[in-house]
Amino acid sequence: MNVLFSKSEKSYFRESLINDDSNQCLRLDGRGFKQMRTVEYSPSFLNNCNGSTRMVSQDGSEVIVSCKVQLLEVDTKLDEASLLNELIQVDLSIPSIDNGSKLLTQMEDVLKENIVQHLKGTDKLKVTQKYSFQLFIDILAINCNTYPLGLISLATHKTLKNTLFPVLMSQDDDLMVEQVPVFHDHDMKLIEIPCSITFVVAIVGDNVLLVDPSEEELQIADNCLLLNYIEGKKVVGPVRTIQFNEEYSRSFNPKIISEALELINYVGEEVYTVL
Amino acid sequence: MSAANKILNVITHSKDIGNIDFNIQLSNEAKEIYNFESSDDDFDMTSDSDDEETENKKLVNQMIAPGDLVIRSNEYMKGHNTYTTEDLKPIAFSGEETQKDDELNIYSSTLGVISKINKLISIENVNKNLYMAEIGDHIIGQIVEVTSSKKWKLNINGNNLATLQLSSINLPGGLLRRKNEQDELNMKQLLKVGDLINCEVQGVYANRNDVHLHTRSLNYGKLRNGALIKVKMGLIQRKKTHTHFFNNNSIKIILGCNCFIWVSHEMTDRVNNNDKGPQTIKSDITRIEQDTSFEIYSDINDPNIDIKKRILISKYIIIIKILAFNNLVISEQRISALYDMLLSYKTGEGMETVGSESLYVFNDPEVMQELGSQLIQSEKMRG
Repeated sequence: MNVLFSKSEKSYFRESLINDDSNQCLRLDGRGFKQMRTVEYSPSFLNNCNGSTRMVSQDGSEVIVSCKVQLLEVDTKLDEASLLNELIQVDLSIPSIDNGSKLLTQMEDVLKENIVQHLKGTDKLKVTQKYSFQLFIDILAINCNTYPLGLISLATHKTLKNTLFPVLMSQDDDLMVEQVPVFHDHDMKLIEIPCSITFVVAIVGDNVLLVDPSEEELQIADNCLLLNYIEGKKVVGPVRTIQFNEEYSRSFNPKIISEALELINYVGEEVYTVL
Repeated sequence: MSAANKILNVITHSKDIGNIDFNIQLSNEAKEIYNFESSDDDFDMTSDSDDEETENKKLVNQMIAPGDLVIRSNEYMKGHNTYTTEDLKPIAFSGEETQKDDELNIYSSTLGVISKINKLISIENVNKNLYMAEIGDHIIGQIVEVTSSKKWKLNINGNNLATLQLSSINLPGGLLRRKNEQDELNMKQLLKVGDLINCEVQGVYANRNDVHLHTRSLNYGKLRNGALIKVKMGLIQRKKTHTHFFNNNSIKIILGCNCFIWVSHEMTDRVNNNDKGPQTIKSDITRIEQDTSFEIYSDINDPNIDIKKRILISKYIIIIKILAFNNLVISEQRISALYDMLLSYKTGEGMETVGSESLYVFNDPEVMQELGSQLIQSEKMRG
């Protein structure tokens, strides 16, 4: 991140993208507007976690996500929202960004929201009446050459898909009995934790929407939208905007949001089938 | 079909990647060159050792890490990239340990190889990822700072920032004009932070730490109408010429010695001027005065670059990326050879459109690797 571009370079990138005829526009790397960068990934590569993913994007950005499962005795007084907040712990660290910076906290928040939102009203993490699974999701962006949220959310989604949970052996109703849950020694099962994927969409000009923008595209974009997609429900809220440059940032036509939603409905479906 | 029209292309690695032994196996050759084993022990040389030849053998060409003791002796002088404990001591304490004055510890401050000239010990840095400037190199730099003392500081991919002085550039309005205070005030208008400069190394001082640049030629100056690619060090060799023209002189590629590569569109009328060659030399000075208007420092790109030229520029960028991906030295011949291969690759896959959509095929790692190996094979065939 924070690559310095010269003014003429930036205007060259922007001129390539702004044209009345959309066939006359070109992304620098020759991608289509809907096309995302190629992703290489290796699932479950860490042995001491319940689930892990290493994902490398085309531009060299590399992300490691691991998920650990712990048993937590639930405080029954808590309401559902704060309980879920406690059960899902997301820790994101990016060496090039300071801890506690605005950018980092926002990303953490988006990732947590992606999971918590869809767990509401489900008992997926519940083990017994008293105990619940607690998820520790640790994310490390080893190398990030651009805004890494898109890649991280793909990796997080992939990790939760292959996270294995221990199988309960004892009774699940322990409200009256004083007992600690006992788990099977070897057997693990898969619990599908729903997690939406966040897509970064850059808005350039009046009618150009770029999925998965590269660093130079972020630098010349008017604005960026963060959209969440989950299978079945299509695009879910909230819609966020984020800016990465001072030079070109400006407001956009609200109509473009509905265009972006349609675009992500299409892109998201494709991405789900590929993953 | 390949990745051309796919939204997301995913390459999955097998699950047993965790079992791969991550220890890097060095070849014997590399071990011999760097001599890792022997660098582990410190060189406890006492000043009474008389045999200087064995001393030299022990010292020279040893790999050493930052903070390691090079030698304990009062006979030697510290050279570049070394320090002594004297340097670290605060002045207030320096008087206390006078009894140790006869023994001086020299430490290394960088990862490198020890070199010894008579009694001067210095460490040569072995970090090959950074650019080592040499006089006359044609490089591309990016301005990161405009200082108050008539200087610009440029990032040239080296360990220090390079300096471009106000007196080393062509000022608007003619070469022979004197620089005045007004120019000093206008420095930020001429070259801003972020601007990319095509320049030449004028001088290298202070053990390659202080690099001075100049742009006193019409071939040099601010870069426009294109994009920059950064590649790994070592992929560009020093040649007679670093500016190459491709595709009927419509594309200009500058292969900077510091592994910054500029790919841009070239206006045709300029190219014609260059083609005339020797005839224009006489009128050169007048031409310099005409051409060095404020225009050479403007940020506005040529408005006539159409989509075809942009696709062409993107294509050459991808070509350079493919070469860099395969760790091939980037040269004019290879770029044009690969360009021809890209054209034939397309027809081979049955895709006729030269549209922007199909260009991304070449960003696929597998395709990149395939093209690279094809290129090497065709080079072997030719010999």
